[in-house]
Amino acid sequence: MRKINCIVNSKPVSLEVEDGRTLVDMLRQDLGLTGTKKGCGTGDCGACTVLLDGVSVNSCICLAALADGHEITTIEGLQKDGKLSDIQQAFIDHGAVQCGFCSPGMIMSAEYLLENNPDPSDEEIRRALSGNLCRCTGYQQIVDAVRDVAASRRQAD
Amino acid sequence: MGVVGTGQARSDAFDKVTGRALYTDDYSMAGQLYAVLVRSPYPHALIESITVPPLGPDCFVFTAADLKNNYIPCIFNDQPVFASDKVRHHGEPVAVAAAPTLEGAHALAESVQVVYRPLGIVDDMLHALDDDAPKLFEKGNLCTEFHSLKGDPEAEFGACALVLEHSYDMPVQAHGFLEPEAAFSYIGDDGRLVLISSTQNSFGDRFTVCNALGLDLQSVVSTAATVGGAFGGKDGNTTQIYAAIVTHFTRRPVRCVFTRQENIRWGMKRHAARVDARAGFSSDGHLIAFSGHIRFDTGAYAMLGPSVLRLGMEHMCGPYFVPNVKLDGELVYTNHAPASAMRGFGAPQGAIAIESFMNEAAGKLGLSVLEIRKINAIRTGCAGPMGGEFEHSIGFAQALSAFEKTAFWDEMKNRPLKGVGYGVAAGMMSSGLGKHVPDSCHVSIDRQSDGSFVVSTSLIDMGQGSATALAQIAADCLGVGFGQIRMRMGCTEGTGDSGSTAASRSTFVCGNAIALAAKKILGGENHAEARFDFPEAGGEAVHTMFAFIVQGVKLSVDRADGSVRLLDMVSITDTGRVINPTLLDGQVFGGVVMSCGYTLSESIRYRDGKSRETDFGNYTIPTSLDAPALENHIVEVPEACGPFGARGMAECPTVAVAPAIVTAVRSLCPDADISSLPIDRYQLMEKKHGVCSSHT
Ligand code: FES
Ligand code: FES
Repeated sequence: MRKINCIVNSKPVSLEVEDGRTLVDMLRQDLGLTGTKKGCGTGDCGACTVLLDGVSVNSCICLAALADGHEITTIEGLQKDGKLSDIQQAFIDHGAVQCGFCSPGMIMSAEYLLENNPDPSDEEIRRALSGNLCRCTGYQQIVDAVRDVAASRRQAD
Repeated sequence: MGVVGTGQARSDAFDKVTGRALYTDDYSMAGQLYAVLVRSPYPHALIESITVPPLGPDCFVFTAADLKNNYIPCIFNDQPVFASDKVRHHGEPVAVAAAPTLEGAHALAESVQVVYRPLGIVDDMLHALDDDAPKLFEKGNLCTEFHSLKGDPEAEFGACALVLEHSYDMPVQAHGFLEPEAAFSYIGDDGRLVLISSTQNSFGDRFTVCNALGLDLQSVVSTAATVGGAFGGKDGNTTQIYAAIVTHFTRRPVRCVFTRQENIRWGMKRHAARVDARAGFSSDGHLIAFSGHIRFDTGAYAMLGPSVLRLGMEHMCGPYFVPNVKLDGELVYTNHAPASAMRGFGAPQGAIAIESFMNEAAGKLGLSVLEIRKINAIRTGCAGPMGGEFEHSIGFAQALSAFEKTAFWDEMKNRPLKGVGYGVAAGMMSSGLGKHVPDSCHVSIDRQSDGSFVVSTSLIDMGQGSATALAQIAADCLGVGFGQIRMRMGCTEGTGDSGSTAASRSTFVCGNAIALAAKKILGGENHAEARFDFPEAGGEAVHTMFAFIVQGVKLSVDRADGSVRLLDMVSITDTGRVINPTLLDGQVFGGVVMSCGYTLSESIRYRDGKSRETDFGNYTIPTSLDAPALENHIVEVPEACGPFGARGMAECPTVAVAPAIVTAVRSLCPDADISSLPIDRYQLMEKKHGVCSSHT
């Protein structure tokens, strides 16, 4: 067993986990944050994407121990004062959500992209999301949603 | 102004983008057990004995010996819940082990000792019917066959100006839904077994469970959780029965969730197929005769294969009128994991032949690829390939005309880019379960005290958006706002059995049932029930209603490494009146990209009866970088008997993608022989002195 102290969605958390516990299992099972999904467990699908100190990672191939002393943001942490993030809202508006199983991970990857590249080309959007598989949408409406958010954020600046 | 026809945002999207939506694996309860399957390491073997070690506290193992009926109800009932005397595919379930932790359940499953006597295997469907092939069943390896003859194609071929012939080997495709198969079960407060699962058919699951355990139907409640994609691969038993068995005997909550490895190796699949086809044209481009033969590999069990065979044959001549047609097919058993339903349900396998012929004939006869399709396009009232007639609305000719007006066509015709390949294909896809299969939908509508309405049906939204589209229909039928409707779907309680959510049928069949129930509500009732039966096809036809699509793809090929880069893909869709254009676009785009994978990268290959592909690392579905930029346009040719004029379409976009891509690739690589999918990259590499210029 190992003690973990970290910040999850802006709240300090401390818990004990098994040595081999993955971050996704810690989030989903120990903390009940089931918004983060597990589609493969091998780092191939991106459904488990969360932000670790602001950087997107596949939480299924990170040990929970990695979170010790760090800050994690999951899909549950994106709403501010009950308001959806602009990316969450754009996913709804553009029909970028179907079954929704990829959506939390996809949205986290999009958050990371726009945080670091406010004016991405379509090619850059596709590259940034290429670790997040989606079997339902064919990606077009997702790319449209992200492009749209980037444009309105730039306009707002 | 109603909400039908608008791009109304999905009612479930908020929960999905916030992580609130509960999928099956998100449920948990105190005292729960994890269920793990004991699977066969052999593709074909006799079981000599099964020995369960002494069990610790909270550890359980169940086998066929614990069941009342050891089969999964389906068309042929040939699949056991647990193999007991013989295993017929690698990974076949032999027992279920359950323990309080997942690790514990795995260890327990490992400790079950099964003694096998390995048998010879059928690893190649082309040899499944050979005299010396090992037999999976006593009756042999022919699961079922199909034959149909209209006119006299053999005689007519002789009189044709152009006869084309080709064979294709089509791969096994995995559904690749992002949420692996999952079930969660427990004993409810009223003592009944509650099954929550990722499924397309909760009534079907309930029947499967009750049949195996010898329970009354009323003692089980089956309901769908939020489903993370299905595409046919959750139509039937996956995990449900295993969770329910453990809960039934232990009275404990149980979760059974497949790993991605289990999903890729042993989940249901699209049938591999060998397609042989011949088409004869007159000099003015009329399709005079067609003969087609398809052999489908159903793997170790029939599952829905017999229906897939029938639908695949029925769709083999595509959306074209042909006076002389011979269709033959067979479904054979092999020692592969069972194939069953997958979006397109047998149609994509055959479409590659007819659509490639159309493109080739156009070139040889001096017609454009749209002209030759217009000449042969089916219209309402014309005879189908097996006799019977197309009775419902058809917008195929209109879709072809609309395609002619696209920027894509203008570029392809008038100013094609250098180094870019263009390909066009068309497809059709039936909706409805087809003749002789009960196909009705039950709906109830309840007026709430606050003036809103709850609309209930057992059909399920697996992600396609039916909860939203059906609520749009209900809102307009009742004359209220979208926000006044709540859909309650996918449960065995509350309404009658509406069958499987499959066959592109929900919008049509359920939309109609909603309209009927809404009439009663408008007549003053507070609770109304209605049932709508899908119209049955006349004559020899199996299906009677279809959606149509015309698609064009633009791509380039790197002849150094044989890689294909998809640039753009444009679709024109005819599905009658469109209930929600945003949802429709999403269905088209998703179906297209799924089939881009089918054409270029996806294949489960068997070696010695075991799949070489094991997870998303080596079974590669398209990423956002692989997918082309997508565009969809609609033509609306309303269906008189559809809700607001709609027909179903969820599967249609998967049908014609492969032939469009193959045609475009052929235009850039005329030397390549493309007779199997996914397209072999080595075929596309520049050949120098008879060998490939590079290897990857
Ligand atoms: S679950 Fe982590 S990448 Fe798939
Ligand atoms: S919406 Fe289903 S996998 Fe992306």
